[in-house]
Amino acid sequence: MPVDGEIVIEVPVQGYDAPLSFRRPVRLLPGAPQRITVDVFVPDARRALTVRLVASGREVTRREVPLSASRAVEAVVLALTHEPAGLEFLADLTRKIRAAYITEVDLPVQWQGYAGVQLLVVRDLDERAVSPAQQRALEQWVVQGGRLLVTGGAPLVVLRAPWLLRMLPADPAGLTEVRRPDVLPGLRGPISATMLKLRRGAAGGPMGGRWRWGTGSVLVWAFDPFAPELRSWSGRAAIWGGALDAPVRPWVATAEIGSALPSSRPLAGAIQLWLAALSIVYVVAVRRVLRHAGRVRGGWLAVPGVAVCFMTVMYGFALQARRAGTSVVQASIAEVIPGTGMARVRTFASLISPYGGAFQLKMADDVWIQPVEPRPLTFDGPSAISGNAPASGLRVDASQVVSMPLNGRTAVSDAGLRVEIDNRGALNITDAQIFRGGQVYRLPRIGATLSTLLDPTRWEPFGRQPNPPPDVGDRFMEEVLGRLQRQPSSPDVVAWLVGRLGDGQPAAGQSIRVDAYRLVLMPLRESWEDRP
Amino acid sequence: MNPVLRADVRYRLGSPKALVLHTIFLVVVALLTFLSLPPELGRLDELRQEGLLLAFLVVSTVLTMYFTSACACGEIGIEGEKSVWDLAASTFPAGTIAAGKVLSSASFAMLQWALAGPFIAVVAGIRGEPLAVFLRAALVGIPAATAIGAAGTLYSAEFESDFARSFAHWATLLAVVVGANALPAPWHALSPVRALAVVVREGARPVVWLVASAYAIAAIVCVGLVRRRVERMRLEARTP
Repeated sequence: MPVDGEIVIEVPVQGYDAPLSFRRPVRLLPGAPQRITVDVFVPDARRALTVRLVASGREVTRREVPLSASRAVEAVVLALTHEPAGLEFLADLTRKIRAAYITEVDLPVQWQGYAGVQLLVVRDLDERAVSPAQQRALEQWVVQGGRLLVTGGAPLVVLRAPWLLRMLPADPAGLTEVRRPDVLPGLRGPISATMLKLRRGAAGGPMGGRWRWGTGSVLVWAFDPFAPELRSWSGRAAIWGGALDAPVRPWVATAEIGSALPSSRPLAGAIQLWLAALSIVYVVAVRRVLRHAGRVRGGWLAVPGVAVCFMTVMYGFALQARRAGTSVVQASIAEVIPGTGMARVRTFASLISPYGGAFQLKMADDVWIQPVEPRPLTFDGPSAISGNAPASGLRVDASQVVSMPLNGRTAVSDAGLRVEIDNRGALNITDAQIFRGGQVYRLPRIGATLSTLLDPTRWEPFGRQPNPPPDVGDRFMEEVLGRLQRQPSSPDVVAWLVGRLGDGQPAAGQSIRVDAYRLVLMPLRESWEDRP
Repeated sequence: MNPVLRADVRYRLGSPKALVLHTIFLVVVALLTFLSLPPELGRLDELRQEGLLLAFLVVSTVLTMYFTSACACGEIGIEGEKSVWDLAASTFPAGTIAAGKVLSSASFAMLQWALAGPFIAVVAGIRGEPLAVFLRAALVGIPAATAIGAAGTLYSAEFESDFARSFAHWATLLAVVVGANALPAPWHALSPVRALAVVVREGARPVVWLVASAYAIAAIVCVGLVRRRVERMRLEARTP
């Protein structure tokens, strides 16, 4: 007889009595072990978290999982290998990076599951054991700035996963024996290595190749760093350090940009006026009734009557005022990943609930929400949270990858900069601007395509206004341009396209007031991309 | 119906001075309502949400207590209303006078609580509290105001001097509102401020009923004392 229930993981939150709860519905069969993955984040690693199984509202079992701050790390290296050894030296690094040896079954099924992973090392991969969701998650994570290292040796030669081989900067072409590996100084040969044929656009040599994949980085090594002779090699820390710090392009929309959202709004003037009018009418009515109450037998009954009537009306009015005062302001920044037809969308949302109360926030299924500040909330899924809204406002940060068929390129010539935009999405881009070297160039509305030569005299210097613009969309636009200005120049990015998606008006919600602002951001290169 | 109660209610409802008094009470409560509206007030910390409603209820209760007791002890004179001294010279039985005066205080407290109701509803509604909080808080507010009104009636009978009466009246108000708050647990629950905090945060717990009963007993004790005082007045009047 299957048991339908839910796994509840409760994580303590410093400063609050109530925990942060993560709920996941489960169907359990007696006697049949089942693996359930629940992604949680732990704001305070000094206290124990509780795992409970609840069925029909009754707690079936519970277990405390002790945590300790000493076990908290900055980042993790995931090593997909059938032999869980070889990365012990990571513990000697100054950074708190630890290795986790995993098998195919442990690969996350959503890209968000790679949060905190500094490097994914693939050594032994049986492609039949990897689900399509795991493949998609891995690809999406790398495209968004993840670091992937595929190690060589015999496992690489037998690797048959086309989706993974496609991402590699070099084609494996058999196994060879290297007697004196020059790029691995101090290592005594011979070692077994994969022969690599570098692809166009890749950098490296016979012992390894690397290239950019989206905003991420993919490396392939011809040798197997888990082989016994390399595990004891003195130069291993340096070569691993290079892999750990392989350059990836940072995102423009970082968590700090969310602070541009408002956290409060004053009560509407019309509501205050209505309330004042109701109060005056009430006082006048009471005076009138009191004046005449004594003259009529039983007239005093009219006094509580008037009070009850006004109480009902004013309570209803207050509930409406409370509802009107609750709203959501959200700003989404879509950063196009050229050549993929995808964009990473980071949404910053502020739940403005000046008078508190319960709330439920649900986003699309593939969205991963996190509150900016740890609070006792309930996660009914990665994309749904509920709880009591704090009067000081609740800010959440959500990420997702969406399909966005938008591409662009530039061509620099003596005549100036030519920009070509190919927009196959349903939404126009308004208030579009080209940003380059601290200057902006305003473009007309971009429909399906745009091809224009930018007039060199129409560039304007970008400068932040002394006070943030009152409009949230303008404020975010200014934040984005300000971040682009501060970003170090990248050799492959000539300029940036920044604009609003849609007609520029905030989108409204149905149940409560939702003001949604959508911005798009795309790096422009000198050629169309044929790979991420 | 108690004739003393009937007459007092009539005067306390519709006399010109009573009208001014009720208007002042309503204007003060309305102003408090508006002051508690700005969303920013609730942003300082989570406690402020229910804290604002509690503060509003405390002020409403203290105002009701003051007006009830001030009318009862004669600090606020209502035109036409007979004092205990005047009534002692009437043919009404002493018990009728004492009960009528204390019941007048109870009805006045109920009236003021009812008048404040729409404003309490606004504060409760906008802070997401149920309307029932009005009735729950009445469990503390009305008995407390009745008890202090009964004490005011007693002082009006005991003290001939206006100063002594006012002094005793204010001392009692301070003792109940502030002094009781400083008592050690569990006695500090006798303070209406503490009792209101319990009723708002935890509902009508047994301790709230006990406090309300204590106030009711205090009012009944005052009825007995006023009755004895009226009898003594009559005895003194008959003594050559």
